[in-house]
Amino acid sequence: MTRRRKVVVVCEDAQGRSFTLQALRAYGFHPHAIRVVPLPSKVGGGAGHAWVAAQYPRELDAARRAGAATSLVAHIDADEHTVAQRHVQLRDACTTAGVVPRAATEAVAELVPRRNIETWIYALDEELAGDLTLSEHDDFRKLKGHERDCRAAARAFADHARQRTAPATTTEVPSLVDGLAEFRRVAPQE
Amino acid sequence: MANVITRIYVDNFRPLVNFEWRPEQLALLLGTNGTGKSVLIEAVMGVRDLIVHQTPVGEAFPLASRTRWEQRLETRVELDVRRPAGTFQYRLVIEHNPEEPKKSRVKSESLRLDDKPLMAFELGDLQLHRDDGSAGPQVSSDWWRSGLGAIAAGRDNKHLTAFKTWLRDDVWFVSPNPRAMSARTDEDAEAFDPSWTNFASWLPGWMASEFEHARDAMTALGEAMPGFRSLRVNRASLKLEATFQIAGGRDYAVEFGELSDGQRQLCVLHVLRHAAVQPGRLVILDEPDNFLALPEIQPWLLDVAGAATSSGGPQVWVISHHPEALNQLAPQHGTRFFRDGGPTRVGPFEGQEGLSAAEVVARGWDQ
Repeated sequence: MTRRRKVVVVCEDAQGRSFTLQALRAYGFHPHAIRVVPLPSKVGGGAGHAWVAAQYPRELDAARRAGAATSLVAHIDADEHTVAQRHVQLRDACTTAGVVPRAATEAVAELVPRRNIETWIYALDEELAGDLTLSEHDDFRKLKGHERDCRAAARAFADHARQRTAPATTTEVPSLVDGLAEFRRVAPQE
Repeated sequence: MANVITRIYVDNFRPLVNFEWRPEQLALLLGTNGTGKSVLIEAVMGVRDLIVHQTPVGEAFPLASRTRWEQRLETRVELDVRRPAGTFQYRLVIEHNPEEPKKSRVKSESLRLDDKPLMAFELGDLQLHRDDGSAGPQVSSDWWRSGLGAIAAGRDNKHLTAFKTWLRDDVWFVSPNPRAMSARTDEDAEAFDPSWTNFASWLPGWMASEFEHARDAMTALGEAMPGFRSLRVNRASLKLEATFQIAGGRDYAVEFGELSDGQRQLCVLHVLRHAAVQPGRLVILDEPDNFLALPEIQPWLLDVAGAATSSGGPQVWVISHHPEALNQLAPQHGTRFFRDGGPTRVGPFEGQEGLSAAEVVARGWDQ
């Protein structure tokens, strides 16, 4: 008999929250099995990544204490850094906090879009991207106030994760390959 | 383009003095009690009553609703509403009568579409305009009531009629109170009541006419309440009942009135999500989180917020004091109502680094 897995989500901004929430739903997570950690009431200097890095060890530790049926998904934009550097940042945050970093088999996903979550959204939704030239080095238009418009992109992301495929745009946005592999670490049922 | 109220102006109505607010697509209205959140909704719904139900001015905006410390006799309400046809500008000036409180009258009322006149009502003289803005007939109308409300739909006033239809069908204000809800399905289904006491009577008609939305609502309820299958009318008792399935497969029914307060609230909220929170609507939810268990709030709230943050989605205003609503919505969508011993003022919520929105509010640091 399968058991419904719970998942805790830590995102650095509202767009990441909308994307991750919809991707998890499309991946098969029950809506009542998803707990989104509220965003901070204020982030100084746009440092959402610092907030995620601070929350991550705490949530990882809490998820472990809750038992094997709880997964963790963290979203942190790479911004001007590399994907690998962000993974290291999260790992170091755990070490500093005295929490054992995630093991290779743990159901813990670190979604690190480069340059940011909008890059993934446009890479996954051709219609929304229009004539944008995709790149991991440019900042693209935010969907401020219309964050839910990433729905098609989030579904595509979940579909690729489930089918173990990748969109053609991974040539321009290689961070998606890492993101899909990360997302496959969590599963709605065990 | 979304269909939304883009500006509200209210003057001389309870604590609202020279009050202006330009709401976004999604807004969490927060502030301590008495800061005017509900009063603002009262003003919007007063205009709706005046126009849609032809409620006398003295009832929709009674003399006692004037700002207490003001001596002025005029109350003013203005709404700018963006619709596919353009932006409607509705202007209303009420003149109160302290000698005969029930005889407050419409001093002036007008509706324009992108600055083109659709109607003007001045002290009983009603000037009609055609859709192209040209002057139509001039008639006399009862100045105790809305002139706009008195205008019948016709070939030449499709824009004006569209505005009235939007007010009637697409402006929803719900402050659900499960304890006041009856299970009877034979009451007046059309009567407007923010507490939704006639939910059981309204539901069967909606389920029959909006099959797909109803199916989605039942699915969402199944996700929220283990074992839940559907809501249906018991043909013998004419009461609404919820059907459940126990592990092992047997179905059983529970009369709507026998459900817990929280279960009834869940039924109402998930139906509301699929019935009301739809493109083109303005949906105002007053403390929808009452009676819900903590894990039940976020999935519903984020679903509603998601609908409102879709292109072309509905406009949603949520009034709430609940920490979960504050934490999830205030950082991005919080609109703070406050009073410094005087009239209501409004501004964006401002958080504090290192604190949740609820904690900022609880400490009064948003003041």
